[in-house]
Amino acid sequence: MSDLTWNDCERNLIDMKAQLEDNLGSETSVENSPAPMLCYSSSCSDTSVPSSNEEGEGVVEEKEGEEVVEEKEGEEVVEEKERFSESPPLLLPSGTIVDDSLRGHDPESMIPILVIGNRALMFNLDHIKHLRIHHGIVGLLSGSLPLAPQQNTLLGLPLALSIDEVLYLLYNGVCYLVDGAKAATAFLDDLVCDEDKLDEMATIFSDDVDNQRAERQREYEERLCKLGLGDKIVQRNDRNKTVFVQTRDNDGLFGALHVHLRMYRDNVGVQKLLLSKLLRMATNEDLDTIYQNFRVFNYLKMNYHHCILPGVRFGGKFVSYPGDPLRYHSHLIVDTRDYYNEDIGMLDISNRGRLATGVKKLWLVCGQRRRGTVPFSDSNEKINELADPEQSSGYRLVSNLFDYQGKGQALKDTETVCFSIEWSGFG
Amino acid sequence: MSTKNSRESLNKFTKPLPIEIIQLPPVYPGNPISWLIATCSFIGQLIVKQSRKITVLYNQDEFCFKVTDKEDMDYLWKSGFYGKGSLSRSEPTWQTRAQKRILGVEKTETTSEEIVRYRRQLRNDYKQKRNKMLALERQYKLQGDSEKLKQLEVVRQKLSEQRDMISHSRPPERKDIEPQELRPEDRELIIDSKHIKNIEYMELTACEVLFLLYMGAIKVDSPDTGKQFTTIQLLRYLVNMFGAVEADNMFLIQFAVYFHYKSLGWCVKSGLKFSSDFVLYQRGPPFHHAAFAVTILKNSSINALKNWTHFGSIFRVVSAVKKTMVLCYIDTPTSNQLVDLWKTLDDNDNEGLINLVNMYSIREIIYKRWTPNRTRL
Repeated sequence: MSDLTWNDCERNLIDMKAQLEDNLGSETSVENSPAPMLCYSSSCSDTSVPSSNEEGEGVVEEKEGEEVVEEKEGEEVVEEKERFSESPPLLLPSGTIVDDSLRGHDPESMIPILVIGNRALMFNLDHIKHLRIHHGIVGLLSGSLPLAPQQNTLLGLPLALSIDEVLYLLYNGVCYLVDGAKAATAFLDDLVCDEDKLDEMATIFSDDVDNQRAERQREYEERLCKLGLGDKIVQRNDRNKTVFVQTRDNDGLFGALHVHLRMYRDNVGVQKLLLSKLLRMATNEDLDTIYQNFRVFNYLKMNYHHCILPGVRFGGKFVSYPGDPLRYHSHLIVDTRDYYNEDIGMLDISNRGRLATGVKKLWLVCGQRRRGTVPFSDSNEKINELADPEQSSGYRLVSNLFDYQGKGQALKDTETVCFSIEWSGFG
Repeated sequence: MSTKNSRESLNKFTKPLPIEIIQLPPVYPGNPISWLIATCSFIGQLIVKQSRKITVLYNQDEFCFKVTDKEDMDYLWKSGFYGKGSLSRSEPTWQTRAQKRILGVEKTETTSEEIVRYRRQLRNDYKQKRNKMLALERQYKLQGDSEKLKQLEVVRQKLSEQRDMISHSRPPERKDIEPQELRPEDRELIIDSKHIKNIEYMELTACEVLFLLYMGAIKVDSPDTGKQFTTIQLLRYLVNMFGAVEADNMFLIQFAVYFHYKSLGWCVKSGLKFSSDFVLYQRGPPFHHAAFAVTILKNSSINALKNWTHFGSIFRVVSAVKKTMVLCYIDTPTSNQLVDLWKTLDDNDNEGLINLVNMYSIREIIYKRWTPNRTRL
């Protein structure tokens, strides 16, 4: 980026600052906003940027947050979205008020997880980094571009969290849930109602596009000069041509939502409801199994600080790494079947023992010495869930977890007992 | 296994079943003496055949069928590869090995355990050499020494040849075997300078016992009456051991599958080692490795189908030992049908077993892992 654009951006930012102060009142901590140049230059990561060709025949890239809206809300929102998508660069400064990609995530503040449909997703790179480095939560990158379906092995944002990871993060008070679709539309509604603001945004955006064009024209002239064709320079300022405007590659957009987010964070009832909804939608497993899996997950994380990934490849529920999965091979294949109460079977023992030893791991079977007092699965669950969500078994499980939260119960999990099984060839 | 040895095996293992067949000398209608000779031969062979029946001891507490006589064990092994030596990998060879180890007796035969140990040792040597080579290669690459890298290429060639040879190699025959140091418990085993007590027995699986009894090759005493089991009596006894008389009885299903493959001429052994129900040998353990591992799945029971993780992990183990995984779907009759037939079974009519097995139908599916990424051309 040239100074020209940066300066322009700075101007935008100051405008935005004033607007936000008007809109959000004293709650917004504008002082936290970083130097605008830096914020603007931290552009897209290469995973989700469609390459624009040399002539600037690119497309205006949509922001991730908007894609989400489109996904959830269908036709109604499309119109709003189209108007909205005209102005992504404008929103960057507001996004950076809460999260600054250079400063990283503030460890004191809780991290929002967006619940969209039956998934828990994260769009913010800083949050993902923070969780990976400080909490050993790896998740699964799941974003792919619709136009490049062969990219199935190298995926980008958003990061999908498994139900066990979500439970762990909530249980330990690291994160909180946000209803992704609703939060985004609420934000859009605020924005769209304000006609003046939209007009202003549109002007700022068109200025930005003009700057882009000027920049490209300058590059073009420089290139020609280098080639010694300075006399052939023509003014190529074609207003009809689209330009490619780079945007930030995370949910910095949602930073402007922080009033909404705070509402979600502080309301435990909403949290419980969201989680019980997620529990119902995310997996086919019954609640007892989910609870059992979570106990084992929590046990391994609390006692051994392992990184835990899904273990289908190795015939277990999880595979457990002693550190970051990029640095270590996994040591354990974790089977969450409760050997105290379930029959594992001779064939399975020889199978998993052999499999684990063959890949230089240990097969871990975990059991609960005393089974949880309340069986969570309920035959009438469906009916309850629809009529009265707070009475459903999922909600009971969630309440149970929230009641224990932060009381150090997890650290003293003496009921989980694990054995490892190894295959030894006799003779 | 080399050609020479497989030819040896060919002569050694000629019979698929431990049954003697009465062979009559030629009978000429016009020559009464030939009739006489034939009759004598028939009666003689009949007596031999009867006395040849192998006694299987049944231990009720351990639920274990044992053959203790060394000759019987060898006979069962050589004619159809039944049973497993309790102190050996499969063929009961403990006595031979113990004689070599304790007394230093010269034996021409090489047991499979010795071959396995020898090959494992070779593989370890190979791995050490390869690691050394790789270390050298890394070093030369860092130094940029292309001359020495070329030399290493020759070494690599040799090593890979050596590796390919391992699976065919046999331990060298040593003429002068020094008896190894004796353990205190060894002294109790010695009879004289050439012989040793045989403490190994051969264990037969329940399926094998029922099959062999049906074939008339063995005799088993009932623990309750003390008399010999008839086939149907043994069937009743075993089915009761495995649970109630119903179509889903695990023993009935296992036996139906065992009998199915046995009647198609496969050598069927237990597949517990490979986390399957059975493994199938084309001819027998000395000739080839087992090519197929059979997992039984019941159509009638919902619980039998666990999940894909389960099948995936069985496949990983089975494919690691280069076998093909066969899912054997078995259709059971309704419980009423089975109980009706069960009531009509006659103690002395062996064909009842066949009628029973015929009620089950079997379909096989081969399970393979398909990786779209790798198999695309």
